[in-house]
Amino acid sequence: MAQPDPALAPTSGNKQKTPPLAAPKNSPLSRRVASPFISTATVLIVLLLWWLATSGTGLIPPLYFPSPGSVGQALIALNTQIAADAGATLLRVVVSWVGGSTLGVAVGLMMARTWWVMAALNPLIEAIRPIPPVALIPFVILWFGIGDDGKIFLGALACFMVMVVNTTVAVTNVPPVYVQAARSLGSNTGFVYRRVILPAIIPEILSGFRIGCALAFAVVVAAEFLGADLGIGRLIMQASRTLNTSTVLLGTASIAVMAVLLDLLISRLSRYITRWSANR
Amino acid sequence: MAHISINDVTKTFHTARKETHALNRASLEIPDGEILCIVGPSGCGKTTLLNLVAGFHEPSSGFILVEGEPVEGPSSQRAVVFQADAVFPWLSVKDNVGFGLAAQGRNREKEDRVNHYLDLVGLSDFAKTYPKELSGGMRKRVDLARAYASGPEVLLLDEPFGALDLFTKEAMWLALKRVTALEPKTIIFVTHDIEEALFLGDRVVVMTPRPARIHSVINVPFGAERNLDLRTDPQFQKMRADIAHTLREVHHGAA
Ligand SMILES: Nc1ncnc2c1ncn2[C@@H]1O[C@H](COP(=O)(O)OP(=O)(O)O)[C@@H](O)[C@H]1O
Ligand SMILES: [Mg+2]
Repeated sequence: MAQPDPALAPTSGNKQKTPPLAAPKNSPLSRRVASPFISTATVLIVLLLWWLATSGTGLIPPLYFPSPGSVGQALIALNTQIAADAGATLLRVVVSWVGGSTLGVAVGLMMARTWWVMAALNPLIEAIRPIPPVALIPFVILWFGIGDDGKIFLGALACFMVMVVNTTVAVTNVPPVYVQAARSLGSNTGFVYRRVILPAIIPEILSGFRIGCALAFAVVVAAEFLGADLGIGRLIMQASRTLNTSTVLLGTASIAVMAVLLDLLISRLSRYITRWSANR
Repeated sequence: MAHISINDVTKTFHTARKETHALNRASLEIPDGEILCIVGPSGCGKTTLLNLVAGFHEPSSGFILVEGEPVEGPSSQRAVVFQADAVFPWLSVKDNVGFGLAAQGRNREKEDRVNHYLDLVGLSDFAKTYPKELSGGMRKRVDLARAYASGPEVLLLDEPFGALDLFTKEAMWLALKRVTALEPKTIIFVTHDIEEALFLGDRVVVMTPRPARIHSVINVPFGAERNLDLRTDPQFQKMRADIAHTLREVHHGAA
């Protein structure tokens, strides 16, 4: 494959970027030292303001926004229940995210490699892509019930769509000289895909992986809202029926904590995997 | 080594809006082990000619033979060093140089050959480095070592040192001379630097502006042993001036 296949024309130009680090590696030392202090201070100030506005001054009534103390009480009251709910959500997110993304990369590579696979799948993907996954929840509950399967299906679908598009676009952006060089060094098509195309698009795959993670959380929790036996979404929904806002806030915060930790893990891993990249 | 025979080759690019005649009835015979340098105005079709020999494009008419066999697509018989930076950034220097051998499944000889060529281009100390930490000149040396290590019979070089400063370029000339002395190859070397062409080439081909035709072929009589002082030789200077004159002439002739 000497020339890029015209059938590989980018399906969309929107390339989402991962958020930059507060202090990139090449910034001056003073900034790198100061940056975590400032970030920590922001978090502490927000927590303090929260406490002040609720418990401290009583400016905001507890029903509208619960105080730190009541969220703590909710945590104690729920005890192992919150761990079970969080665990169920996290499992669904991780399985759907990893599964959907992997399948997305595989299908994206196949589409990029074989013109008729592209021709066959492109219209389907373009038709399904604009549909917000949450719009499919009624069908999913109908098909899969309220257990794990439906939520995993929905999260995987969302990640799959992001990854297919990311992958096909990334493949068309691989400089043709890399492929030509590999060819004239004796690579067959399979070797070109495994050893040139795949590594060349790793940065884009990782950035899609990161976007997919946030998306999987959003989709899985939304699906849990509308029917689940277990999960943070179910916890929040049930608590909101009784106006138990402390538990609602606790559930919300636990999503944030899980999402942030997972994102941190991915970004650390990405930085290691793409340590060869010039813009690191 | 391999004999290359370019027979009445024409290349026309068809794009949505226009046709570009990039090469017009070029014919050349390049014997085993020769270094043939091609000079010509930029945009005249030098890269196109090289890409045709590499097998990245097909001629619109005419044909190209290497060792009597028609060129059908790229092959490890013909390695290319591109004008652009084509070193794989995700592989260490060592893995870049070993890429061709890995692709051809020649893993047993890989270690030795990689070390040999790294040594030859003076990059042994950088074996485990990623390309992003290398200078432009070092990356070109990686590219050259990669092409050489893959064991081709033909080496196609497209303005490989065009972006380098004079001193780095001189070092690269000597490195190329060193490797070709040890392991002769049939080489087509495209450049717009007349000194470079005369210093490295056994023959120099002058091409006209687009659609490129071969204007003249000049024999370079300085033998195999050449050092950098050759450039002050009166005969070298005269040939250089003559080629520059010819290039100016063909340029104005076309304008
Ligand atoms: N793939 C291509 N499609 C269309 N036109 C091309 C292509 N490659 C080269 N050309 C055109 O052919 C001409 C010769 O290009 P090239 O061989 O790259 O010149 P040189 O290497 O001598 O500078 C140029 O006018 C260029 O625009
Ligand atoms: Mg060129």
